[in-house]
Amino acid sequence: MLSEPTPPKQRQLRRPEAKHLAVGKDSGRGNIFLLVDMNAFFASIEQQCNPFLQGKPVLVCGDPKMRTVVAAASYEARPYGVESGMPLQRALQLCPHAVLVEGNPAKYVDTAKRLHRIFLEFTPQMEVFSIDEVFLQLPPSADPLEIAGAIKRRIREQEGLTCSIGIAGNKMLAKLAASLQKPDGLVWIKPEQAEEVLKDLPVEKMPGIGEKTAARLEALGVRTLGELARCPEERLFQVFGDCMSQFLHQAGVGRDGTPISAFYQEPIIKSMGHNYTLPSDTYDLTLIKSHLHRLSEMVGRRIREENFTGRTVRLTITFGGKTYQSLHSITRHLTVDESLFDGLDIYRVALRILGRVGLNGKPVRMLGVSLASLRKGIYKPCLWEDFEKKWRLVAAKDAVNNKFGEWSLMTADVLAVVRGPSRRKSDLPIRAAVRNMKGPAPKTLLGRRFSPS
Amino acid sequence: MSSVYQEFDEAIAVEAVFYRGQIRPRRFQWGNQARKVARITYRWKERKGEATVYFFALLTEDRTALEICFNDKTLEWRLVRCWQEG
Repeated sequence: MLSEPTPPKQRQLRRPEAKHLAVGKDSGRGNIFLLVDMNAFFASIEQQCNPFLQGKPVLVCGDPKMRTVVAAASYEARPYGVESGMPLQRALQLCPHAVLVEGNPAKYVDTAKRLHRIFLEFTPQMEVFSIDEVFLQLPPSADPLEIAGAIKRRIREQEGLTCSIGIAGNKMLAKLAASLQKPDGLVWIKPEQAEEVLKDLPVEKMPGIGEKTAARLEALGVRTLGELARCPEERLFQVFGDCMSQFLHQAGVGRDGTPISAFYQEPIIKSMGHNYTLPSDTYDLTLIKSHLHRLSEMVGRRIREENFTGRTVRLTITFGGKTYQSLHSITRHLTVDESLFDGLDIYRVALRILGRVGLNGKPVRMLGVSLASLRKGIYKPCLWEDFEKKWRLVAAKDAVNNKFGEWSLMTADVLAVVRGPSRRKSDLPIRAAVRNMKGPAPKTLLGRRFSPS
Repeated sequence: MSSVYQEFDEAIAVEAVFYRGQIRPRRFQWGNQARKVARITYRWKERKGEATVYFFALLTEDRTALEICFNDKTLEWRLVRCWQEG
């Protein structure tokens, strides 16, 4: 019998026991939140690996021979204006003597997992926010300064790395606190201090308020969080709408009720996808299709690992331009009747979307494929024999890739755009690696219960 | 910039200690040269199919920074990359 489809829901796994939790007098506070932010994470790890990089401006990036961006800059590079996400060419104009190191996501993910084991010694309430940021929740009786100090010491002794820790009564303020002192900072915003701390801070200092929102707030005469707190919510509603105005109003006073999304709780997954920025803008339709197929296969692999199928394929294309401002993206989707799990089927739907959209003579810079309308388990389709044959073929392909490494088996058109199995370079994009850290371990397809009725 | 990592993919002979779940390379032969490990500066691991590959960033006694790896399925040690100071 095929497994009955079930909507995705939160599932409780076993909670680890915290070993070092300091218990003091109940101060009457609510729960305490820590945000641990690793300082220049990737660059610091590379400087630990290679002592000759210490004290030098280091830029961790993709392949320097291709179009790439700065994934991380060491603190020695930052005074030159280099930031994460900056195109590498621009970064080298600002800091020509920077040392370039090609990043290794698997190295950083493995380090992050070791750090998580440290954090779990102090509390089981841990939320992996990103590869270098983790929220921790402590009970009201805990001594946050003692715990934060112990965490910093453990990280320094075990990994040789530093972090900034923010402490506050909610996640938003904890993240803000961590950003106020870098590197190697420790900032506690107590409830009675929040108003004083926030009043003169620029609005973009608050997590969740970016450049565009800050510009729109400035048009309203709001530049600081204090001014945001005093701005009537109705005025914010007129400009930003319902959800955003509520968020901004809360942000102005540093209020945030979002709970920890603990690592042992499976998140509700709405879609899975992969993006890829091409090494150079291209008009080559064959190349574009090969990349689309590769991305579709990656989506299919993850979908099967998590035991999902989906019915909506979403295609995103960013067209190239002479300047960053002239880039133009479109996203189109197509929902089909059948439940998709095979990368080839996802690719075929993506091609249908591409056919409808057309490139209109414009070069392509970035492609993205995702699958939505997800359901757990497999729907029994009408054409049973075809389905069984496809399922076995896909299972066999997964078994080969599980045994010999990703992309050990692939179609000829994908071979053209995939690097071969590499000892050092990981094919796993960093964001996908973080997602894998958060969720359960990947399962092989052959482990699934499957028997035709 | 003139300081770079030079990539390799060469099998090397390594003398290592396996003790209490840890691997500690002590010495290795690269080409005709034997080198002694002064310090393991970093370690991490990666999955390659069924294999776990253990990576070590090393500083040798002659002040060379490099990375080597050990594949627990093939039981092979390989030189990954070497730092070339410009």
